[in-house]
Amino acid sequence: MKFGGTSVRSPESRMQAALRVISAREQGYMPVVVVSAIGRRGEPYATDTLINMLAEIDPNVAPDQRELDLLMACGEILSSVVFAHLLKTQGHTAMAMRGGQAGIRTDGVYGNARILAVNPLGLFEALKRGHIPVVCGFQGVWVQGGLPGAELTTLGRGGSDTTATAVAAALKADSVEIFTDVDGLKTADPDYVPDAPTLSKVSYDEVAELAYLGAKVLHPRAAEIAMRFGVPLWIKNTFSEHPGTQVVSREEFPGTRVTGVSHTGKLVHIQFNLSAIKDGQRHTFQARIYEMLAQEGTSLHMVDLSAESIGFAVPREQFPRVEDLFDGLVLPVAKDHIYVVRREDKHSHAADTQIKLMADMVDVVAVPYTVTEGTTMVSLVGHEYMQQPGVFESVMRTLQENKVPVMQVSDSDFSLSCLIPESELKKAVVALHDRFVSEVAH
Amino acid sequence: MSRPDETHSSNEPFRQDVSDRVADSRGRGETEFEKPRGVNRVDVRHGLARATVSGLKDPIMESRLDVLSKVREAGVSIDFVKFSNGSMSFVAAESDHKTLSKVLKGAPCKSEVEPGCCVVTVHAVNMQDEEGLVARIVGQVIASGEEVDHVGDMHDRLLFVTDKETGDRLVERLRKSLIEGAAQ
Repeated sequence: MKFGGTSVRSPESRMQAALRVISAREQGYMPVVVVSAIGRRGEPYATDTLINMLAEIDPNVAPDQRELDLLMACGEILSSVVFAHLLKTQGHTAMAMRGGQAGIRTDGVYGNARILAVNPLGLFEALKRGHIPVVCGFQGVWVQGGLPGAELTTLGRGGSDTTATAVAAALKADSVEIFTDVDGLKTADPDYVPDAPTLSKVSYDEVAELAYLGAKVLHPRAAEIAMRFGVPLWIKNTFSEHPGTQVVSREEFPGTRVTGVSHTGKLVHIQFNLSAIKDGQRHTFQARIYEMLAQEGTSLHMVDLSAESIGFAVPREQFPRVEDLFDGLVLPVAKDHIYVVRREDKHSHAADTQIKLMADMVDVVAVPYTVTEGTTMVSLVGHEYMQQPGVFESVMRTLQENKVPVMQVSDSDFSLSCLIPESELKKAVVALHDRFVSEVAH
Repeated sequence: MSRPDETHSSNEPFRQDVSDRVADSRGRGETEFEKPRGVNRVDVRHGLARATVSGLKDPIMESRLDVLSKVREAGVSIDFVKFSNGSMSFVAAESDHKTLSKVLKGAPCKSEVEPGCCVVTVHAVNMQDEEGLVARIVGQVIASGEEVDHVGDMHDRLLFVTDKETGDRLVERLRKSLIEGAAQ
């Protein structure tokens, strides 16, 4: 049973969560609890609050990732101790356990570690003694060969969900229940579609695709582990008796259906016009651009490749870094030939200077790129649905009828995504939900 | 949640024996979990045809919708739709190649339908959270020198549309650069 930040944020919510654990025990189960840090952004023990403690010392000095992991893990440690103590006050023996004590071993990538293995002996021992283990989510240990002790690591995004499914798989648990503050997986963001229904059942792939395309639900990493080990999974509300959403394998839930409409955060679309680049040099130019984006750790969406242009969208928070990278970028693709990248819709002092300085020495060609800020991606997600004739046309027509301009599209087996202006997002979500989801009984 | 053995008395749920699972766990050692970081598989799916439609008149979206409407009426399922200035392209099953050619000939635009296309799939779990991974894969595809018509993505894979011969070569090159190269 995994409880997220909102389920453990206050004494009242923790009591609700504890009653769920006690109820499970009274039904004859042997619950193992995984907890997130207490509260959400801005609250005293939330992860970002802990990180701010370092930023407050000097925002210009980046903290060491190893130390940051030690600090960030405190939120879950605190939460597990408080939760275990609460269970004790209710007459149930419980044992708070750090990730390492629960046997979670990871690789050595601080801040974004992957679980390599789980040795559940400690958990079994606690269960045998009649304790309810309360495991810190989001953390594990990296065991370095020959060194005493182990390095604490954090698991990155979706860490506590991943902890819960990994522990469940190692224990061969009957199910994993991810408790949150909504009734389960909704067919759309309730902020945009307040009456969006809760899905009673979905496949692992659908939930992973929804999460990938922006839905704030179970993280794809957790879905992947549950799928690999066949762990039955539920998403439930700590604060209601709604049965929640069951997540099962594709084989257990076949059929053609619309799952929902999701949307990403804010994106910036970038498009290079390659017409000025000589034939035979375009591949090299394109490869260099992507190589540099990879080195910068940029996340890309809506990648578009063609002989005449390349385009992609980047998260808005990464755009300043990307703009810095491209501004006046010099790419010596051939010996006698240099390309300088220049933003088309904005004066670039750096690019102009580069071109001026090198013009006497070598053939310099400016490669323009355009930037469209204020974009976002809205996606229709379905199971064996996208393969039906007419779905693409229907999505485009729905958006057009609602005067939502579509700048680019991308599709896969499970989804169809459109890049649209951010200002039109709500309209697009509502229109697609009305057209595709509302007509389907869930 | 772990459930006690059904044979145990329900009023003694916490005294039941979990030694079988403990023993099993000892026998197995640790359970391996998340797939390794980065690309873990590259494969190819053949049997596709690619349609390119150009010379679409303004208003461009209306023209695109007219084409898509004709394709739907013919009962052809399409994927990997791509919009460009005045044109669009998409992929259908190779078995629909003739139907598609016939339908598009009747549309007020230029069209070409090429059979013998494929999709090369690069599998990488949790791709978007591995910073720069998508860019690295795309960079490797371009660096291979092979022509790719279209790119699609899912939560755990990137998909590249190309012709059959290119696809077979691309798979081998990507396996070498993204899997074998990363393992060394």
